[in-house]
Amino acid sequence: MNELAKRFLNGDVRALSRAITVIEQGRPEAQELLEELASERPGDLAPTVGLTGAPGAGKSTLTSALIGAARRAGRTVAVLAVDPSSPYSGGALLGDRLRMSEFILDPGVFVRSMSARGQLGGLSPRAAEAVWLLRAFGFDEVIVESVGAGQSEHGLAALADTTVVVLTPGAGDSIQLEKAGIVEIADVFAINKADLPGAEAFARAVKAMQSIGPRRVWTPPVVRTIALADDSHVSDLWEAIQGHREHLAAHGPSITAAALVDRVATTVAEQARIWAERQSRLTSAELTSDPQLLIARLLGHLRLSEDLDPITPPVPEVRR
Amino acid sequence: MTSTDHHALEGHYDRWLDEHAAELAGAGELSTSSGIPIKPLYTPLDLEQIGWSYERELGLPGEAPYTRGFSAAGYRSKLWKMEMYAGFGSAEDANRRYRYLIEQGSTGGVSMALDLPTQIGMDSDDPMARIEVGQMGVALSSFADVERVFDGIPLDRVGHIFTTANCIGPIAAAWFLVLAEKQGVDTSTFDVQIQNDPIKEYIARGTQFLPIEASVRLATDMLQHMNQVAPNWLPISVSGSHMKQAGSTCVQEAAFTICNGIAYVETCLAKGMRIDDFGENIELHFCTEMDFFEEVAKYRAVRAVWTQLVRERFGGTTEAAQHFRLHAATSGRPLTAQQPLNNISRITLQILAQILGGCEQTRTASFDEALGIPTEEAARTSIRANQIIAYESGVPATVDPLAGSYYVETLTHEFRRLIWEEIARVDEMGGAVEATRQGYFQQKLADGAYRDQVAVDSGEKVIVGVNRFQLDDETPVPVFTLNEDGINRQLDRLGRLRKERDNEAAEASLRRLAEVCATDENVMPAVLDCVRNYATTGEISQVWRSVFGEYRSEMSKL
Amino acid sequence: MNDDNPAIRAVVSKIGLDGHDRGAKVIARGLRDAGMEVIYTGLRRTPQELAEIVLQEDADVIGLSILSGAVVPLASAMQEALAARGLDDVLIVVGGIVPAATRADLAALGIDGAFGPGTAISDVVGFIQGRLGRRVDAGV
Repeated sequence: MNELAKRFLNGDVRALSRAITVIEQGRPEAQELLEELASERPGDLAPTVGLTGAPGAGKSTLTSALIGAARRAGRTVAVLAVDPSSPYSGGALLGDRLRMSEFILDPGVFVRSMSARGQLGGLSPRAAEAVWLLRAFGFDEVIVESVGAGQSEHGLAALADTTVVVLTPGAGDSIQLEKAGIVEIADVFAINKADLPGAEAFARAVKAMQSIGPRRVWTPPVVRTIALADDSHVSDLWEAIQGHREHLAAHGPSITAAALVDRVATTVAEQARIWAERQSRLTSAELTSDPQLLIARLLGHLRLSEDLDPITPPVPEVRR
Repeated sequence: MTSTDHHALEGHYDRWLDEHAAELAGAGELSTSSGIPIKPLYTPLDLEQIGWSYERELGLPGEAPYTRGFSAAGYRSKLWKMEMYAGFGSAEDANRRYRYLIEQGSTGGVSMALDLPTQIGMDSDDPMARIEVGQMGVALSSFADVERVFDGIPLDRVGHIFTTANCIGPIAAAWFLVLAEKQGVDTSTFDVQIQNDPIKEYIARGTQFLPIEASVRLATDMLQHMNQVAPNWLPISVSGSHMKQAGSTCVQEAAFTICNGIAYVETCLAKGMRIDDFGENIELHFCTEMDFFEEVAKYRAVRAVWTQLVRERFGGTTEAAQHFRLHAATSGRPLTAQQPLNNISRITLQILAQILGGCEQTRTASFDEALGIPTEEAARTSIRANQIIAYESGVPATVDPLAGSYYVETLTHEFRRLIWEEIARVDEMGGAVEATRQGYFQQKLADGAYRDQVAVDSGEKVIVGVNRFQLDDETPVPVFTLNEDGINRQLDRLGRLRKERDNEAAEASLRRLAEVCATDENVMPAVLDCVRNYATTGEISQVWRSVFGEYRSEMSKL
Repeated sequence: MNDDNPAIRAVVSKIGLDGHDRGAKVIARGLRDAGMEVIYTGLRRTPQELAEIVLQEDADVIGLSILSGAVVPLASAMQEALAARGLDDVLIVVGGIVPAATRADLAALGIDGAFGPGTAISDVVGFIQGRLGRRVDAGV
């Protein structure tokens, strides 16, 4: 067995960190590493919570609060924080860690920042493998926090056992609710910044919307959170997540593997359709035969057109 | 302008544009450092276009909208105040300097820099403080250190003391109040100015250690208390200079500062204060950089906007309420280490912009600023620059001499418009505190800093002597030595203090402080008690941390 | 970035008590636009915290912004903290006030990436890419 795999299985955190890099960079040894780990790994994979939502919804702060709740419950936690990458340079400014600073030296907490790399669906297959590594390493909890930009929430939902969709009152309420698939993929709704006016009304609106759709076995609870101000609200969220886990244990996953494949395929088709519709928005300089680059650029346009996180171009807009 | 004249001019102007089209286009498009486009020529047509009227935009000096200044005779009757900033390292150095000044008969006043641990609410023996104790300023871990600085110095001879205590504002205020108490000196016989502007720390300077609302509560508690017991002191200097130096544009500097000022004032009003009582003790502090006419426009616009806020938003009824302190310091940022004498020219232009902007309080940097602590010669040269403008140039002989310039008035008007726009935007976000919490200001600053860097790297923005007109010689850079002895002495003293003071009294006063902090009561009386009992800076700050929580970044933007 | 030219992972941080982060944020953006993945860690990080972050993020390089006079002690402390976690191979780059004497002291520690005021972003990028043996053209 290779050295890295051995150290990983021995609980060497640096080996975990290195292994993630090997997978992310698609190094030749990646496949072998995964296979070795999969065959030797003791025990079950750790339960995974996915946190998604629009930029500015306060996901990172909520993640930090969840880490705190988990630690208070004596659980170790691994976090994967995914941020968008620049479609121009491929680089990324990863700042989610800033909100988790109090846990840096806590040996029971591991945080890894990852760039979404303009991948279709916001989470790439390699990100999924990285999540698997975190789950297999031995942490009690894994939290994946991802940029929520339209279709990308589906990718995250596929990875996580429990998907928490983070919304904020007032931030374009109807737009958030109408966004394709948000209501479908949520296992728990967290209305963050719940101290803002309109939070209660918004929570009621979300619940009302749930009663309109098809009857589901699991009705996602709507939890109001004020991440930092009030620990009790975070425990509400933690309770809701535990509740969903109990439901899963009793009834199995809410989606079969086949349905999951279908859902991913739909996501891809959706992306392609949007791409075709908006192809004309790319300038001739941006059209390229490289499909990944083309999609990355399109995603860049999509983000800009949906008024989401502005991405600073490398050449500044000096107003002349 | 009559409509016939207007029509005629329009015709001439159009003809002129056509005739000289190539020449005008050749220079390309230019804009101010804030991105406001600059036309090749400004005429009365530009004023017409913005609906400019003398009454509405300017008025007369000493009257609303105060664009032209606060006093009828301007500099004719009273020149601007010229402060020089001089920081100290050790308490001994500060003590020596004060004694020297008093001997020389000076009451000009001095500034007292505090070391970083003190500013961040840490004692000198805090593990995080070690190598930074006493480095960028004096270490003041307790009132005993303050007594040491002022040993043998009568406060009523010291004039004006300024200190950049921000998040520890109430503690600094307590030091000087207790010092005056102990010396039996009336607070009206000398001046203390405390920066006390925590919001900008979160945005640009980084000494915050509490949640932002707690910092604002503490700052305004101090303001309220000072207004009652030492109404001639200056309890707040809402600062834009740090934000501009961190990357904001000139417009943003003005607008963000005003937004922060609104947050403080409205918090004070909510405590039952009236702006008529403290309006003139508010200082808005800015720095002057190199875009000459922008800076002039900025100072004129800030006067107009703030006084309007006092009248229309804060409920001010008196002239005094509107007559805030407009403070301008020449910025050290444009000063280069390369060919330092060039900085004399830069500083002169900066001073001139401040004067033409009508500032009453100013501070001037020295030409060797980029090389370390200014020499006496450099400091003197800066004072002389002020004096040459004051006595040789004729500029102060009339009030607001640039008024009526088509360009300056268009620019001033545009500044006012943009500032009001920003105020509305920040209001919609929930105010300056909420905007800061979200990282809105910070992102603007970082974007601006990046734009600036790219422009300098590409040569698009010229810095004489740095990316153009360079010399080949090696650039001198400041040398810095760590003062190990000073650190050890301070640690010694602090250790002894902790043993020798009345620990029961200190602890009791800290407990009382914790109780008060949990209510809405003004914290100052409790802080004063802590200081009297030699509770340390760190201990007082720790009470705050435990009651209010530790600062945590909540920014959703980077 | 592609598999043949994987993105460089850089931690950028202020270390020590100084809170002026203009330079650190400019460099963070500059490295991002040069194709690197930049983990920005904010203010007042201790050497121990930064070493832990470097380990978890598997960073190739750590950029420290130090504007106080304590450049050498802090850089040295950082080096020790990294060594304690077995991370000796991580590149340390320092930005701040670095006169000749300070440069010499840093070089003696084995740190020769020291950048003072007036540094262009491309200088820093070029240095890092050169040291890590990456191609200068970091196109997507």
